[in-house]
Amino acid sequence: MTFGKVLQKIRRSKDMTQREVAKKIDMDFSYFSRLENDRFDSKPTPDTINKIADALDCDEKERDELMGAAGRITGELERAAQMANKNPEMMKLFRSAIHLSPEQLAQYAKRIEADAQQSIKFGNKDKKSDKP
Amino acid sequence: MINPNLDIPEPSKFVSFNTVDLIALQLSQLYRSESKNKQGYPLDCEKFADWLELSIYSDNFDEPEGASFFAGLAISDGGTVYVNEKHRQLFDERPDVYVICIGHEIGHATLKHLNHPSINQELSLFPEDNQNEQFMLHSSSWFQYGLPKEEVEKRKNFSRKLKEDLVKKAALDSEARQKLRQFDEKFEPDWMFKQAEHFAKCLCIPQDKLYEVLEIMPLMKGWRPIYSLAESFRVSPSVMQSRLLNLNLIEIDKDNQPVPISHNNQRTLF
Repeated sequence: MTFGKVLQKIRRSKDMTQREVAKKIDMDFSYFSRLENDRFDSKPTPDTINKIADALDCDEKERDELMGAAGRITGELERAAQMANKNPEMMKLFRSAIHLSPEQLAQYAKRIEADAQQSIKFGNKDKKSDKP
Repeated sequence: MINPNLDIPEPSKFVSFNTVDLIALQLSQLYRSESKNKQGYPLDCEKFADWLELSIYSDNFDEPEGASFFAGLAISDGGTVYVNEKHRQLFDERPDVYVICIGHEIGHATLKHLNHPSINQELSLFPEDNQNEQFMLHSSSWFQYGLPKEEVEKRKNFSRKLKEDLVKKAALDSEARQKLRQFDEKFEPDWMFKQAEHFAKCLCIPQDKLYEVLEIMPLMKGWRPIYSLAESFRVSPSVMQSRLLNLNLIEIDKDNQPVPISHNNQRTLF
């Protein structure tokens, strides 16, 4: 889904009009309308997205959805990147994953997700290993 | 645009005003039952468009010579209402004009006018040269938007003069011939305009709600009741007058005063 469509979906779910959102953040109404109708060649900056997300009273998931649709790093991804910076094993995992085919990636993601669920369920004994 | 699951006939000039009224009423009732606006009036046309899942795109659009572009409807992305921000001052000063403008485009969308074979599928005039986006201009009746009479005349005269000039040049100038051809093509057929305009009025002044208000505030002779009714529904007095005339609730007497029509077939209770 494009950024404009995601924005429109979230805005409508909050029962706010384009005009109300634009007014709340002192943004030019036409500018907001252009954003929502995907009339810009470039995507909005994280600053702009955060302003809009604040006006719409977005939760973390909605904010990430907006960031993701604009091709910006989401909060979750940023946290993962910070973690990878601190943990060489995780960095290795990310680097290797780049070279995988989409099918392989899906397979690994499924396995890792299952392992992660197990860890959450039974408590991660190797939690300390997060730290370098 | 959502499919409201209403019985909407194929677009045609034979669709009566009563049918348009009924469609607008059903749509308004559906909106009231599903949205937070349980009262149904005054209509927030932007919220209504959102509920219908019609996009609104407001920007500054160029206007071709001889025509003003307030708002238009494009079929892209399931329906987009284009609003020309060049007229923002007018829209802000006259919200009643704005609501009828948007209501008019919602009317075109609901009555599926763009599906009519008379609409040239390759027509792409403005604001953007995109084959998925078609626009039509309103050829007449600026007055119904609530514009001052002088402004209407000015716009009509300008169009008329432009057309006359093109006719004079057309015999020798192929470009003028082409423009002349487009001049007629780019205007929506009159019946479409009238149906959409009627739809807008019916949507802004839903029949059932109007009768509810009239129960409490019965019509009396003179303009004052029309003005206060117009204020309640946040439409222009001319739109309210036309709605009441259409519903056969008033007539204009020889002194140019609106008079309620007494329906003699109603019997007294006792």
